[in-house]
Amino acid sequence: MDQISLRLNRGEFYSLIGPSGCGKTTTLRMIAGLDTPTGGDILLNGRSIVHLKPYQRDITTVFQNYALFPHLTVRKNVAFGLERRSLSQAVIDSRVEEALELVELWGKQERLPAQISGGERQRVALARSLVLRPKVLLLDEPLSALDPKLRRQMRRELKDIQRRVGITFLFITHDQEEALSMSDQIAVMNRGVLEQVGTPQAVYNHPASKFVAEFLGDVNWLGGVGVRPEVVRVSRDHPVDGVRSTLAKVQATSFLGNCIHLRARLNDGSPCIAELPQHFCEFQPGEEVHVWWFPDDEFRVEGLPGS
Amino acid sequence: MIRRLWQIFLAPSSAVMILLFFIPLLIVLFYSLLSRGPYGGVMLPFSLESYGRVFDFLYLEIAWRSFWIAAIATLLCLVLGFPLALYIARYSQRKTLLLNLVMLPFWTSFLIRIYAWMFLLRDTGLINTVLLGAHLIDAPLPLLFNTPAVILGLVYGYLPFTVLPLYATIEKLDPALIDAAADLGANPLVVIWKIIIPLSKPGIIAGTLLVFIPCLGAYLAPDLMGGGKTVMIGNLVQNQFTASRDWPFGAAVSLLLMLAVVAITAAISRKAQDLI
Repeated sequence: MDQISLRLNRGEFYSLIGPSGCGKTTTLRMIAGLDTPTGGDILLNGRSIVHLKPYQRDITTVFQNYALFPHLTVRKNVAFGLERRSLSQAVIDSRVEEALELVELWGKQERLPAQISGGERQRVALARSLVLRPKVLLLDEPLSALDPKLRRQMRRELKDIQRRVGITFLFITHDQEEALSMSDQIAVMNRGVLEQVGTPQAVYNHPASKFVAEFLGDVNWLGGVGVRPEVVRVSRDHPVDGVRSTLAKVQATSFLGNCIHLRARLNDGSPCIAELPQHFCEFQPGEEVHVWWFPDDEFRVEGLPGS
Repeated sequence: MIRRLWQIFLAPSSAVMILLFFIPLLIVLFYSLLSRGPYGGVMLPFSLESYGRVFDFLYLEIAWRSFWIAAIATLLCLVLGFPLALYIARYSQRKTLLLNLVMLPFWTSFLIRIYAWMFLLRDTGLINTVLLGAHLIDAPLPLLFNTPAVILGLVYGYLPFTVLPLYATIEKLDPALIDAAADLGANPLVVIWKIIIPLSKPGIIAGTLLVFIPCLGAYLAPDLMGGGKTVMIGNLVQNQFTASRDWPFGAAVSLLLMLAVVAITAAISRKAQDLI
């Protein structure tokens, strides 16, 4: 881990995204207090917390595989953190109920973790952390153990819950779709350093580096600029003036259901993928076509040959 | 075919069990139902007298003493063994070395190790000699030939049997559970009490059975370290077959001890199933 500097605004949804081994989990564990940084500081509301034990911080974590206590019921799991604080039983009971209602699990409070589904376990883990009303909630790839359909549903629920409780979320993931769809701000991390921080639109449309551009989605590198496949157009006729255009030879098309991917090779040899509506299937391999895009849709990054 | 293979492979162990366990057990049962011979051994007629005598106050007292000595030894083994197992499983960088050290005493016979303890503890032993030499005491401390010495011998002998199963369960615990508990506000003691101990129940139960049962029938430690003054069931049985020459009574006591052990094991195992 190298130096990273990240500033979170209250009540926003942040994603920390990067490939595995980039240091994002280490970052999370240092914020949670489970690991100690060799230098630097961690501030919460302007106060240094770097010397505090995990249980002294106003930060809670949703762990990757939920880490629910298998010997305790759903209710006892959610009450665990509250019972560590000097609260009356009545307060604990009502807050547990409130938290379980938030995640729509009130009614299953007497079950053991082994007796509920994966998605429900996920929600118990969320309730267990949220019930403490932390300043910041850390989520360590919390959706990675769920199947794809459930994952998409949980994304919406998570975002919805975050908006309702107004707690700052720091969501760790390696899935760019998750990060782009839920976050107010995305921090892209690689090899222990933060490469870029910004809104999903900013980091996707104007990536600061080749790594960010390629990590967040497919990208064509055409003559020194980056162009996303979905903004590339293909036509037989010469395109209108004022757009960037070049000649290319169609190599293949592949059908993906909601769209097709057309693969072409430019005259200078560089490959290009265009994401197009279905009727573009008519293009035949070997056909000469115009590949074009609007100048606003391209981006430049530093350190790319030819830029 | 598979079935036939199983039969072939199981035959030797079945033969051993039948010849060396089941038949001797029947002999013990048979002896316990006969009358006492004049110079040891057994003779007719059949009689249930031996079973009746078990309930004499003297023998009930021995049974009770065996029970609480075994219980204290077991408890001490758990209390001493748990931190050790926890340390080896969760914090040590040298697990293999420490586990081997735990098992190291098994390389020597228990009898020799008990004698070693006696050399340490007796009036002219190392501890008393050093304390006397340093003028810390005027007379040797009574370290040997009493009940605490018996308990010491049992705890020493059976501690590895609690450490190993406890280690096995703690080692399998998901470390994320401990992180999660700490994250939710539990200090390390609460983590141990509320998370690690409840989730170590299988190991605690296995350790309890592995120590309590042999302690209940212990013979060497009470005989040597207790100096014959702390009589436990094992010593009672041995005495019946030697000095007292009352084989039927010795056989009856052994069988009842076995029944008690089976009952205790069954009760704890059933309880364990509810817990797991």
